[in-house]
Amino acid sequence: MSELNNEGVAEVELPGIFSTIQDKGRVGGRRYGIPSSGALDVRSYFAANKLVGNAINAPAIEVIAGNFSIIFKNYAEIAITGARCKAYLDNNKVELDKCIDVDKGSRLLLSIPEYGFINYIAVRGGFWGEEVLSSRSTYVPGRFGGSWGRALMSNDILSTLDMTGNGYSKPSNFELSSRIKVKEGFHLNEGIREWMTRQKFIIEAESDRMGYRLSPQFELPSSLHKEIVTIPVFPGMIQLTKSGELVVVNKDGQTTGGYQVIGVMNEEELGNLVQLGPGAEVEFII
Amino acid sequence: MNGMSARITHLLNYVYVTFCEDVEIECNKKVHMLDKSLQKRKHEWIIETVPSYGTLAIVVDKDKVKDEGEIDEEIANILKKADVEINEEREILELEVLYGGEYGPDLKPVAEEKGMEEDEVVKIHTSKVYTCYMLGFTPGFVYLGDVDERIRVERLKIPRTLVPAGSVGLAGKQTGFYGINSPGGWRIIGRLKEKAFDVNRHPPSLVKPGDRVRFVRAEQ
Repeated sequence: MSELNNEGVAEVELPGIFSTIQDKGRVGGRRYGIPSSGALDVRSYFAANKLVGNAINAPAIEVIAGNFSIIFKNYAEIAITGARCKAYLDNNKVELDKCIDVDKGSRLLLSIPEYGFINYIAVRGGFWGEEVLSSRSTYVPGRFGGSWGRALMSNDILSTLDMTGNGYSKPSNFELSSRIKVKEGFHLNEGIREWMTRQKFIIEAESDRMGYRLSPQFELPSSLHKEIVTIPVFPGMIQLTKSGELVVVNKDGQTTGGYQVIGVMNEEELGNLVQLGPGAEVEFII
Repeated sequence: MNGMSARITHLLNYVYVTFCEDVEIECNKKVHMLDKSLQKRKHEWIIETVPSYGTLAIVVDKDKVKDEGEIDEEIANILKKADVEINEEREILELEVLYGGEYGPDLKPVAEEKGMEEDEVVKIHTSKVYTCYMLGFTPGFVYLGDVDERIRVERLKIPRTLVPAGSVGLAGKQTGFYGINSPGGWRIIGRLKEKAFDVNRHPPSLVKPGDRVRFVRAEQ
């Protein structure tokens, strides 16, 4: 454990429903079936690192759906970005998107988000995570990387790294859009485009780091369903299942898929979609 | 044959080179040929490549390449002189398998379904050299083909919730094994003796896309 530069900067108190250590994600594993993993909303993740003067790929805590608290065991500089939630340092409300000094013994608490779904907590230097294939991102289905290959639990001790960067900068406003801009996928045709753009989709509760599931208002005409032979897929690709349910490949999603790929969104658009969270209604602009 | 043809599609920073849309060994070899050729050339603009049955996906760093035309040209150049490289033989990897019993709960039902002894199924399974079509589904899941027609079986109707890492299965004309513990519907006939997948190894998988594999019955 010589790479750790202290015995722990913080201890997890409330772990929330799914909090993990994430960085930019791993490269080179997809040919072996290993997904990229990494922060779901890269814009908010990068912003958190910039606020504390970190290298852009320093690992941060990703908190899904809030309700998270940690107790700092040492002085630290931190920043909270992403979903709009209430954040408290002991009993004082603190601002999001700011670099905050935290005293030894202080408790940081994030409420359930009011707008958005995912938060990032960066600490100066970055949080330590298990390194696998040159990334410290957690991949829970494979049980490796980041926070010991699992979601954070109460009493986990978090340590810091030395991944500081050049200077500090402030993020832009956190704004989400329910109109998702996508590029045409390999299997998009006029029929599917018409079906897809004349309705709204609802993000299902079964959405997670592997895939976001979107249910349509209208059933898919069976003539538009086609079986395809498995091809490689990447985060942001929209797969059309037989029933018309869409499965958007997320950061922990499978590296290959056997559904028609009807669209693809870039990393920022994917970040926007995941932040909208379950229950949100979206429409697609192709 | 002079060279080979493929369809090239650009989507964001992904380039898909499609040779066919089937699960077919001869076509799949072309995917690995292109993959290997691109890796040898060590282009700065290639972030990673992902082989599948009939398509090779290339993840491109757009800042390091002039335009899409440069990529298309490079791929066309490789395909033009392709048939020279396709015949390059790879060495055969031998993997020991513990067949049947607790390691292969479906060996007995498969043998019964096919009206043969368990040993015969094993004999047929170990008699062929398979090609690794691709890896996917879960980390380290290896798809191999093609299986002798005499032991081709359907997947389980209800997939198991937990298949142990290293389990060797059958599904249609494919055989393969699981890299990590995961749910799965393949008919499990045995388990690899050696750990074939470990994320802390380089590369993490013993079997790589395009590799040739033969199963050998391990002493129980």
